[in-house]
Amino acid sequence: MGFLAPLFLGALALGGLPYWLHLLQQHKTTPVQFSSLMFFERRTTTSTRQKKLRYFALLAMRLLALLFLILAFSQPYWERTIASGTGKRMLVAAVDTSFSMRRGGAVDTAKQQALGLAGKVTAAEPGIVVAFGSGAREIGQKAEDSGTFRNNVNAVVAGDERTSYAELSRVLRGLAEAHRMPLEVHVYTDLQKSGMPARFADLQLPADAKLEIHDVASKDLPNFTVEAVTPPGRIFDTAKARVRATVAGLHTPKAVKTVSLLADGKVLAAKPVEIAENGRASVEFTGLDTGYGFHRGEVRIDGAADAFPNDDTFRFSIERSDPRKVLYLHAARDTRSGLYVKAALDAAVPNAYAIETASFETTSTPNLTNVSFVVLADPGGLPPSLEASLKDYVQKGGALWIAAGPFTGAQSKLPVLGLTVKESRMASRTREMFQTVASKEPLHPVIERVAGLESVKFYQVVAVEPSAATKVLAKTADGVPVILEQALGEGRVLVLASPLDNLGNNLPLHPAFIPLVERTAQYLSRQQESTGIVAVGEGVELRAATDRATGVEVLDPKGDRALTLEQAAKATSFAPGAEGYYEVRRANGRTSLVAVNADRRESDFARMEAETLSLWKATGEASEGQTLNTSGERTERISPWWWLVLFVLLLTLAEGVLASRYLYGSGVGEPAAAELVGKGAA
Amino acid sequence: MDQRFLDPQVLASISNLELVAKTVVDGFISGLHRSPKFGFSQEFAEYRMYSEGDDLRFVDWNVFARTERTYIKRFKGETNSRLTLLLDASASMAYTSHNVTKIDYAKFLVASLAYMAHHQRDAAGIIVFDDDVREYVTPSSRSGQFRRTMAAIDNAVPGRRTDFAKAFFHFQSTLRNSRGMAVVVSDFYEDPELVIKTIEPLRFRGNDVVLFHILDPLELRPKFDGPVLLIDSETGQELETSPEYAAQEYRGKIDAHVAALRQKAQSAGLTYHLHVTDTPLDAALREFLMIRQGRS
Repeated sequence: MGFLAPLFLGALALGGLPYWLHLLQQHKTTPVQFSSLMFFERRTTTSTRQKKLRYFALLAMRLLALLFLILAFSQPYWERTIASGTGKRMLVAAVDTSFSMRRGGAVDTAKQQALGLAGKVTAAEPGIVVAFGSGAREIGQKAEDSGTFRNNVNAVVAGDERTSYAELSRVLRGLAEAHRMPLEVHVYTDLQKSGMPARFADLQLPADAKLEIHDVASKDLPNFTVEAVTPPGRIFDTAKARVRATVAGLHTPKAVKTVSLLADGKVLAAKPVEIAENGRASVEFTGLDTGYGFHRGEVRIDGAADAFPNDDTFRFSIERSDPRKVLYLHAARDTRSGLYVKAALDAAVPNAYAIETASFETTSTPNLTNVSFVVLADPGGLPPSLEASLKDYVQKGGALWIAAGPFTGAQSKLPVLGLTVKESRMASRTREMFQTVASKEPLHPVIERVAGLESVKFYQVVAVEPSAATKVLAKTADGVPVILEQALGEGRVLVLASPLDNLGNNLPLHPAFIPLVERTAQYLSRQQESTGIVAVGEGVELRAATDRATGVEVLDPKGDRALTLEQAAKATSFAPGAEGYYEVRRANGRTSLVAVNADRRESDFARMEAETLSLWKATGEASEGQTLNTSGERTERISPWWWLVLFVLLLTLAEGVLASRYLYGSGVGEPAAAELVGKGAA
Repeated sequence: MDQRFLDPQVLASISNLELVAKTVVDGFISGLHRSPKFGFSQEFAEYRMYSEGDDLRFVDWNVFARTERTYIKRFKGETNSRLTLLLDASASMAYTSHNVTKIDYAKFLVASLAYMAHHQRDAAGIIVFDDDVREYVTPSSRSGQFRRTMAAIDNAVPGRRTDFAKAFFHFQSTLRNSRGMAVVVSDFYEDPELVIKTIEPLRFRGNDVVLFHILDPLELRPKFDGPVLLIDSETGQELETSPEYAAQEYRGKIDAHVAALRQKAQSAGLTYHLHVTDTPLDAALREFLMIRQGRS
């Protein structure tokens, strides 16, 4: 046993303090009322030796707490020779299966080298095979014979994930903890620099782990890659569709490469592009002549002539559809609001929506076939036949956006929904100049990403009385709803309690208008925003957190179901593990095609510096508190520091309880003193 | 009447002071195995001419019918039956170590004496004092006197410090013209020399003076488990002392004080009696009767 800070033991002299305090406590006099002090004289007990020591349990606790505290500060330790100090270690073969390991059969090379460890695997020194990319997982069970170990190594397959050495270190720490054996780790990797974590501490190996790195890839190779593609996602006009791509050369000389645009394997266009030395270049394709529906798009570098063709292609998905039909119904006198809405939609999603405008006065029975949603601008005095047909349209699954204006405010009921209109609140010189949105439902798709809605000035708000089925998405400070939603039959109705004509508010000229109109149009036409491109390991959103009623389905590039039944019922997102096109059927019934590409950081074959590797290996050497003696046995220091601190804490708590009982239980004070005097008299 | 009703602890549970006095005196008298009629105070002594202020109840109307002269019939006990009770109501009298405070004990005592005097048709009065005279009922045998006396006793509560000189100056002025009996009930926390010097002049005027020294048992034999901070109930002065001192030196001092008070009282012709508040009241009553009988 030894002490890391033995000087603190000098504080043991403080042990006399509680003893003295206990005697001192005895010296505390009890105040007692007495008839006359005529015959009394002052007598103070000067020597503690004359006093009796009381509250032994309390004193013992205090002494022990002090003793433990001093011991904790002096940091005692015992040295223990660990049983595994015989030199026995667990062999760990960690095979890098990241995307970059696909080049030149690096994974196979790694597996071949890892098989060389099989001969060392015994029951005393078992072996474990770990495959790691962005995550690390144990392959098979712990092998206690070479055959099992070989099988485990052979089970390793290449992946498309990115390298994460931090994740490998984390799993190694877990293995050492679980198996209680020192590890001998053999890492078969291409030493990609991009696999290093941001914090070096994340590379910490378990104690006494021996790390050996096996470089299975050749030196830094020149590599061309399609780094990023920006497709339109949804095409309405094939002639105007544009696809932008960025190609990069990593450790490459200046070169001219041909970049092709493909859809469903068919080359649509090809352009030469000059890539500077170690540089990037952009290429843009205009026009995507495809049929309707989803298509598997690719941007490819033809004849890259590098050692890693896997990253010469970048996948994306596109959907071609007709513009969605929007019916804009307005009063004949209203010629402004339709213009604002149309301009906003064209600016946000060009060609995505085809807006037909009509006035109430001329349209009694509109053609609502294939109408994505209907906009009712200030529907005061809506003809009953029109209202009935709109109601029928919504109940059958249609969508309606009502912008209530002054003529709506003059009615007693809101058309279609039938909600009561309480009043139409106008701006006033005496009351308020305008109203603003004070609170909103932040997670609703319509206003989720609409910034600045709070700064829109509403000069007129139609105060609609919401029903129990109405959901208020935004309201003013005095609780007047500004945006409401209510389901009607199978459809939905969204209400903006202010007009869209730039008279009742300044919304059409406000920056929040375009995103609000875009989100509203998307929501009402039931189109979810989809990127169409994700990286391996990234999440693909399947459903909203609150939407768990309907199952979802994901088909992987091979056409197999990628989700288990439980995941299909509950999962809100899905992380694809390999490149390719995934067909995703979401909870809202929409099907989409998601293109999954490997992380392009894997294309950079820059390697870790030797110094970094040395430092990484050093993290597994005998750490503080551990020494290796000459016979190779490992001696570990065991410190009871935490236990001592815990004892101090417990003793302090117990001391507090006991002291309270003495203090309040015995009744020190005048009444207790009187009792004491009474006893004395008896 | 059961003797246990003379126990101060029992008396403390009786709220009516008059009832306390009646209980004590009746119990005491029955304990003497004598007639509850006092007798001696009703024995005829003499006739004297009526003078203004005499109680008309004592006019002998038979004599008046025969002689047309107004004579007052006097009894033996009335020759010197003026009883003045002096009750110390200073703050120190509030002290107790059990159920009965010193002031309670003193009130039982003076109430019993007043009750006894009332039954003997003695003129009884009371002075309640601390550092000043707080209540004064002139000794008289007139109707309602007993009630007034009892009310004054009942109202006595512990007040401030003791000042014998002021109280006794008042007392002397009231006894200037008539002899009587004075009973001083106090804890006498004062220099014995000063106490006796203050009270002694009463004796010179022909009064019988009795000192009833009331002390709590703990005042005589204090016992503390540890060091205590004593607070003087009259002055608020604080003094730390040890149990050893209380067990040895203090006892010596209080004993010496009692002895000095007794010795000086006897020297001055005063009657001194020490009463501890956990003892029955009969000793005090017996003392009173003995003196009273000696006078008659």
